[in-house]
Amino acid sequence: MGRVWITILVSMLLMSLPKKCISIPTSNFTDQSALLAFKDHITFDPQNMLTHSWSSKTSFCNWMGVSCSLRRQRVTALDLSSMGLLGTIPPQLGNLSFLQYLILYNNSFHGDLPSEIGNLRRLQVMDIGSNKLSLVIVPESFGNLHRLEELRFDGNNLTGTK
Amino acid sequence: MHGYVSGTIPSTIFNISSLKVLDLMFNGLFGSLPKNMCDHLPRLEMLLLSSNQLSGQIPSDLFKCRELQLLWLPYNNFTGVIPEELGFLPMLEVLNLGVNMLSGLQSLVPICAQRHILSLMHFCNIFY
Repeated sequence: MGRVWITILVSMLLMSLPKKCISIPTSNFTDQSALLAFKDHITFDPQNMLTHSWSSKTSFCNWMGVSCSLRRQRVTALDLSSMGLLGTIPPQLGNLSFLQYLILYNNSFHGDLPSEIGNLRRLQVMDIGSNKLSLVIVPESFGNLHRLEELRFDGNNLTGTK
Repeated sequence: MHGYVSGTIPSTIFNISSLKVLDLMFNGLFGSLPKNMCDHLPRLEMLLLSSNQLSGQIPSDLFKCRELQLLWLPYNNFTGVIPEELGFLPMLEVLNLGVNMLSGLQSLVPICAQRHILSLMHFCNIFY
């Protein structure tokens, strides 16, 4: 009888182990590449914040402006407000599938919002006010943001040009 | 042609039914608010659309946004009569319709009078 229980326990362990071993590095990799793609699309970083802090030498969970969930170590918040950043928002941002807070307030992001943002199903707050972004065409995919409670897109024309 | 929100408010936004806060102040928005905008925004608590070029009437159906606490629409080109139905918004605390071309200001008197909140009295400012 004891041997049966041990067999069950061991098989349960075997079933759970590979999943953990495979899934954690994969998801980490996804989030890290998404963040690095984001960094690549920054053309001007006056305080060199991302240059210094966003380095592969440290876990991305310790990067400036990045918060992760404790258990899964997935990116849940990206807060880069008022850093003087210039750049565009790349489609890879949509791969941060655990993101709840996207705060890019008061920078100089320009261009269109990628439709991939609609993949951020857990997004609750999106504050992209005071930038130079275009919202002329909001991707239809925004309709998928079923948890979005706060959408702030104020003042994107203050310094913008037609 | 990038730089800001210019044009009408994209209809997709009115379909994000989980929205509680919608802040599109200081943009180049024009056009009118959809009459049935509350149909898909049942949880809306704060609507901030000041300093745009929005026109047309303020939809009387706004009273269907039952959770609305803050309605901030100054510095636009809204016309027509201020809908009395705004008085039926049970949670409304702050209302600012100033600097528009609205009439029927008397309908605001009961709206403002029935709330005993100082900030409301302050923000019930209509610039004649």
